[in-house]
Amino acid sequence: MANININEVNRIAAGAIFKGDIATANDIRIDGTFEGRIYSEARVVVGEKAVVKGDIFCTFIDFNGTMTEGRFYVKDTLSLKTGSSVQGDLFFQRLQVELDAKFTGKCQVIGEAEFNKVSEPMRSLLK
Amino acid sequence: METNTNLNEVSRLSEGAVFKGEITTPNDIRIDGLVEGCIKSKGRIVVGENAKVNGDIICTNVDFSGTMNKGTFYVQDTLSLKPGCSVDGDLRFKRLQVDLDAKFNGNCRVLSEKEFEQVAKTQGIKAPVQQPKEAPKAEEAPAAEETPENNE
Repeated sequence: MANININEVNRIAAGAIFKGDIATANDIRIDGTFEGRIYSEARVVVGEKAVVKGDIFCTFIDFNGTMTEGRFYVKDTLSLKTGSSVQGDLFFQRLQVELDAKFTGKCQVIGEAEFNKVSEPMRSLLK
Repeated sequence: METNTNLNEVSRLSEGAVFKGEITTPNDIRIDGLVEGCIKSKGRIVVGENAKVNGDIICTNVDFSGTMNKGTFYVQDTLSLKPGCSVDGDLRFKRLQVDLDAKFNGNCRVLSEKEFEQVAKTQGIKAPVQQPKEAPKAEEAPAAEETPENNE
């Protein structure tokens, strides 16, 4: 997407540790450690050195990092990149797994209605 | 401001975003959203005009332009309340700057280096590495080995 304003992107920088819940209408970039739940109405990008423990709800995700425990709920495309490591379950509409992505868990396709239902508690944080 | 800040090292909570929990980072943080919980940084925390913070802020420097409804600042160096900010809470700092048109209700107290380290320790963040140049001579001997390292 060309029209992203860098000031609107939430960022968890390398070395930073966030514990708790985050909800945003904008993108999130994670290079540090996150424990808790993440809700984004846009794209989540997880860097190579990032570690996530917990659930991620979003529309798009590019995942390069490590998930030790948790679930992905992705309204559109879930992309596990080369070098990523995931222990957890994937719920998505579309899935892409690159060669050399490590993944242990189960996959399930979900529709928009189902996504809206499971992400409702997180969406309510925004109000 | 510092020229050597790498933008990629700054954690950021953007406008409209909500975070509930605890943030710990060795680097700077910029907040434009809503935070409920404790924020700890070994660097500078910048809180924007539309930001709201409910909880403690522990850091080395802070530029505060937002709203704090409850909480305490523990600032190792300079705490700066900018025009338009609104703070209901207590301030603990080494140096304080309050601009005209900053709203502030609460108590102020100067925090010694030792007290800050105490706070930082109990909250699980290690004090920054660089020591102040004119450290009191008396208490330099036993510190290193004997203090239990209960960071985390």
